[in-house]
Amino acid sequence: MFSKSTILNTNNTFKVLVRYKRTKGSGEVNAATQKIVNQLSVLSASRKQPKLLNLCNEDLIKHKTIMNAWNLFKSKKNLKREEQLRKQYESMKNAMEDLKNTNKHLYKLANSKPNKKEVDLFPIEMRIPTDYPPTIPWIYSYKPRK
Amino acid sequence: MIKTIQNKSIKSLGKRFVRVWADTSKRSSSLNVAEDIKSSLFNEITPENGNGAASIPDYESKLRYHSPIGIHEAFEESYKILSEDANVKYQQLEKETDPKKIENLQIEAEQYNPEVLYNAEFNHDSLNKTQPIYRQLLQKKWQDKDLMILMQRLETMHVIPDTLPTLNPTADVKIKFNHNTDPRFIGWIEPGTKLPAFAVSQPPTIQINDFENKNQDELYTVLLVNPDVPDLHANTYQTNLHYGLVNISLNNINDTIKPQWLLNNEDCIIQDYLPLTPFKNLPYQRACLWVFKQNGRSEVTKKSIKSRSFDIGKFVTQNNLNPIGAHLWRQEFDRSVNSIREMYGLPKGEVFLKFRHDEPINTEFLRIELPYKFNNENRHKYEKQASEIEAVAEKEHNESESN
Amino acid sequence: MNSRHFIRQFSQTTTNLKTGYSTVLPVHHLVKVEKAKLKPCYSEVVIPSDDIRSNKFKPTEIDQDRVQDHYYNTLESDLLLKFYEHDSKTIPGLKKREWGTDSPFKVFRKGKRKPKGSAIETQDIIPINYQNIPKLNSIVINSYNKNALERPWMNICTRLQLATITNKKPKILYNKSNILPWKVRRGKECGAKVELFDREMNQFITTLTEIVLPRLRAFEGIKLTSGDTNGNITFGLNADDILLFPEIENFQELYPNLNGMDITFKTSARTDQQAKTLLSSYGFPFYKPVKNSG
Repeated sequence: MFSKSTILNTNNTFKVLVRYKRTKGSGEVNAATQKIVNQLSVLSASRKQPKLLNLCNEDLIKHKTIMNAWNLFKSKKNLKREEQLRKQYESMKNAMEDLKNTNKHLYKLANSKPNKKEVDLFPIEMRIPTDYPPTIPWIYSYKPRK
Repeated sequence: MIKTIQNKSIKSLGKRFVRVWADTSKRSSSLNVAEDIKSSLFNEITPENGNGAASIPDYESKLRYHSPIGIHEAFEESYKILSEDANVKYQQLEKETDPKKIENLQIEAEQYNPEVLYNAEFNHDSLNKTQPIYRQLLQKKWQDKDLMILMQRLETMHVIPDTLPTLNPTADVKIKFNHNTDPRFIGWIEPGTKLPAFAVSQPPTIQINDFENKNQDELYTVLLVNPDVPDLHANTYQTNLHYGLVNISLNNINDTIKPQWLLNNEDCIIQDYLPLTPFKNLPYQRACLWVFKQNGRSEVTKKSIKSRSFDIGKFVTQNNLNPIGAHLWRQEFDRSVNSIREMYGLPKGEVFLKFRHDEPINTEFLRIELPYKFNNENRHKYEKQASEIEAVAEKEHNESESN
Repeated sequence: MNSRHFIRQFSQTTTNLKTGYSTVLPVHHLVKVEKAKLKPCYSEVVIPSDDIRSNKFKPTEIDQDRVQDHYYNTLESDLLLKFYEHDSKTIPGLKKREWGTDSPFKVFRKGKRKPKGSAIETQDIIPINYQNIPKLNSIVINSYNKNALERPWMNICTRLQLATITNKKPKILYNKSNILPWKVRRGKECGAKVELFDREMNQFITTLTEIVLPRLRAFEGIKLTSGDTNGNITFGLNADDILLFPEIENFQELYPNLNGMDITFKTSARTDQQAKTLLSSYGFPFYKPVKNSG
């Protein structure tokens, strides 16, 4: 491929310039330097960009429609979640208001918070759920560590 | 043929869901795409079975193109979700009476329709502007680019404040000159382009789209002014009116002012079209086209405009006009100017000196033809007058010396 | 004179870093002009990055995010319950005060007086309701490498280490001041930092809580005393701990010069107390440091 384009015209009327792989300077660096160079090349973003998808007009609209549906689905889910939280909040508020009017002592106990320096922590055994749950999914006789 | 394609496309979309967007009985047919596009939008693109993408015109490329895997299945599910949402919107629409809310609901019901999106993306020149969704999409497109180009050109070329102090555009104004055959000048003109005189020799076609729902026709005024006419006696420039139209009634469908239409409605024209014909060696001249919305029928006629010399600011305040859009192009002297002048029966063009003098010429004192003109006819006259003045000055000088 | 100043214009411009003044032509309209959108050569660049035609497009939601799901399904309502306090009111923070007018010297004093009992303003503590449940906004990983001051190539290792762990390109840190005994000079590279959001942040949380922290023998937890009083919690990992990250563990010979890092959790909580509760719900252990006696 290159041999064709590197032929120089004998009359020197034109020159075809080809960029070859660089030969000068390679092999001069020692192993440690080469390691750093490799690290740097891993960091640099050039040539790591995936190829742009060239969609036809119909597929472009299909893609947009899919994204629209996904966004609509997500926003509906979020609204539902917010509504659920609002309901929880309202019912908590109503229950406390009820308790306040019926039994002052119980209300005081229910509304007590740890003092400023203490932190109310979740138990360390609590895990983020996975696709494969543990063999003992729930510890019924759980007692917090001391 | 059409029936089979429709059946095929609908069949592929499953059975149990509401097809609001396929219904053409209540909705405008302009919200649907062409049949060939429809078949490749609602069916899987499989070029080996002859169902290539309809939007690819080239046969070879059509065979070569393959969609991403699974895009069609995902699209079908998405279409169901979105059309169910649109169905809710259409049900709300039936109960609604407030016209503003109706328009909003109409937009919301159609904003995710893939056919509407397709038309807005790829057929945006031929959209039906009676549909609120198309008007909104067109407005977004206009605001995203064309509006910015227009404002940049109006500002950098000082159309504002040279003609009117400012502009808050609400309408997309496009112009083109239909008489042209040169491919460079066919099509809509970008604001601020330099055009040769032959390209603007006939009156322009003007499209005014103000993105509003127009139930009845509304009246518009169009003025084309040139603020760069040299006024040598005052050493400044003055404004000329090159084209004036009033009481132009437009609606969402007929939004274009065509020169042919004006032939039958001559009372709309308050000033006949005269192309700009700049003199040689003058800097470029701006043809500023202003579009106004009228509050009522205008009483201005051809008779009330007496000369080309025109004060646009005064005209706007007198007639209580509201500027909604503008456009401009520029012209310099070129080879076609002389023939255009002849065509419109204008006298032969003048030639100016290449550089403008710093000092204003006191024409009253000189009482001669202006020295800018270097027509061969008046050159001789000027030289003669100048030598007379020199002689007088020399005489006075000699007298004062002898005294 | 302030060296960074903006030219007031309706079109978008970058910061003008030149000193002196510039002549600005008046603008006669109110339309914002984005110059990049008008240049044909930028037509590909100005496509928004969420459009698939843009070369910046990157598909993000390609799998389930179990940390996010856990927060929405379980933690959010638990936290609402935990932080609920009946009849609670906003506790106003310390704000700057007026100088007063009792003395003529106070009338023309610049700015306001500092808050009582503090050098800086503190934020109001708003009672928790269903709209402001504390959540994790982002995680900042900061790695200061003092060895890079003398040997600049060391910073490449630090950057690569952060990039490998977080899958995001780190920003380089530069010294801000000159401190000669520490060989600190203004403008020298001295480490790297990364800020993680959303999915990258959640991925990092699972790596920490499920793989790295459980295997640290000496690790007791995050100190209960940590926090900047505004709901941001920080803890540190040293160079040996970083070996346990799965991305690095199996390729140790490629990362000879590891560097410790500080991990800051930025939360929307207004107090450190709430922020720690939130972090413990993600599985981060906390411990009370013993005070050194004598």
